[in-house]
Amino acid sequence: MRQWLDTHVHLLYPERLHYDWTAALPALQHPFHLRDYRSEAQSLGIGPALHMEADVREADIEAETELVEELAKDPSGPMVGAISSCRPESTDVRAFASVVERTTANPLIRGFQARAAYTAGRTFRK
Amino acid sequence: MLHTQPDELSASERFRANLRLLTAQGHPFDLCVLSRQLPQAAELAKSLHNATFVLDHCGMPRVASGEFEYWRKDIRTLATLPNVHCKISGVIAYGDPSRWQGSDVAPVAEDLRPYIEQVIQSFGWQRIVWGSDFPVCKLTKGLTTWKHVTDLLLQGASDSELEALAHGKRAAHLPVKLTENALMSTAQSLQQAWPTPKRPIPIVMIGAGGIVNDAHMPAYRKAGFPVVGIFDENRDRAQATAERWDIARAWSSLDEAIADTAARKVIFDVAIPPTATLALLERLPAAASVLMQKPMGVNLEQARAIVDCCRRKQLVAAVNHQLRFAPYMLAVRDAFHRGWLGAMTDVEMQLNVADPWHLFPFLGRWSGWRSRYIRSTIWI
Repeated sequence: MRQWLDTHVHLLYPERLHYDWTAALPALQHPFHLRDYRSEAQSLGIGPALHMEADVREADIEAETELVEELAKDPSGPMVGAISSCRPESTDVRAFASVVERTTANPLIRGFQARAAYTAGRTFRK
Repeated sequence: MLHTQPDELSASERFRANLRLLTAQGHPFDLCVLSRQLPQAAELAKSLHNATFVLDHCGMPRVASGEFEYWRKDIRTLATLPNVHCKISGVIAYGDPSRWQGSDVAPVAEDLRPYIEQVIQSFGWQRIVWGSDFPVCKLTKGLTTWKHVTDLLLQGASDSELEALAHGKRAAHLPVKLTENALMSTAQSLQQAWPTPKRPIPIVMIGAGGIVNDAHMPAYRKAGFPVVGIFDENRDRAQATAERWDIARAWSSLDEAIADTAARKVIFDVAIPPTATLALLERLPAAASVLMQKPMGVNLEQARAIVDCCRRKQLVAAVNHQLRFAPYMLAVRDAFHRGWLGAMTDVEMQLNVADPWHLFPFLGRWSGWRSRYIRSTIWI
């Protein structure tokens, strides 16, 4: 079977991080751990995979990166990198520059996204 | 950049400067925007042309509500920007799950097919990547269905195309290539008809000659366009045409035709000899809508006088028999907009004409008239 790179996986660890946006989406209001994803993805030939930031609270951004670093060390795979959250709307130039410096130096981080569009749930609930 | 942020945020100078910093070392930036924000996304990508952008979830089309045309227009615009890539992901969560009862993936695939095919056509295999959007995909059907839908929709793709997508390659230097099968099936989807009006404007027929009976009336009938009345200098011919095509009125004068239709919006179809066109236009009400027969006068001087008249009277006028509405022209135009033909650098027109002179006995045997007739058609 052909292996597929999955460039967009959100893993949810609500016991460690805050996902305020799931309040509007009951179906997503529980943990979605690496093993949950792996058990379904592996049999479909999906992997390696990049973690897509899951719109945690701003204070949790670095903790989410640490979480993905842990997950990427799991010998069963398939997490190989992360698309990290960022706040380009920030007006604190110096703080933003230091975040950029830290994150771009992290080899795990392959790209960036600024929050996620599913946040308000409006997309799914007409 | 997202819909919980104000739309104008991404346009702010600070936002752009921060993005420039963020992407300076080659990290791509994912654009997770609602379909209505796609024009802003394009502006952003255009202004930061050194950064690589990945448009998430096919640009988030509102699949459940059937949104397509506006989304497609924006996708095509974004695809013209070489620094924008597109992620085939997410769309399964935007469909209407009540249409997808049971475990059959085919109806899911059919609902998503137009969006995914459009993304592949517009961006090509080297500028797309795949994503599961786990666990958000579970809002409708889930990861397994999404992967099976992907497999089903990509059945016509070649090994190298699938490799490019499966491995997320971004080898932009490779030419865009569609397999012959995929090309044939997508060629059928090219536009070949002009959108028809829901409430067509009634037509006033001026002239009752051969072309009206042989071409105009059959075409109007086929399209369902109403003809409210007809006028011809030859009263008997107008009457006969009205009877033949079931036209309610056969006016005895042009003034009567104009007075009779003054209260409503109509289109004057002027199908009379080219030497008579100018005088007739002068008598029509100002700002009237007119479809003129080719040729537009018999020489350049007359054509200019007709244009002057149209401008002075503010007529909304067109000359018919324009190839821009022909099915093959519409298809070529659509193929060009999909990017199948690459960049346009030159246009060469080649005209292959069969002259059916026997159908136009009024041109006589004088070849000068014939050539003038056909040339005037081409110029117009």
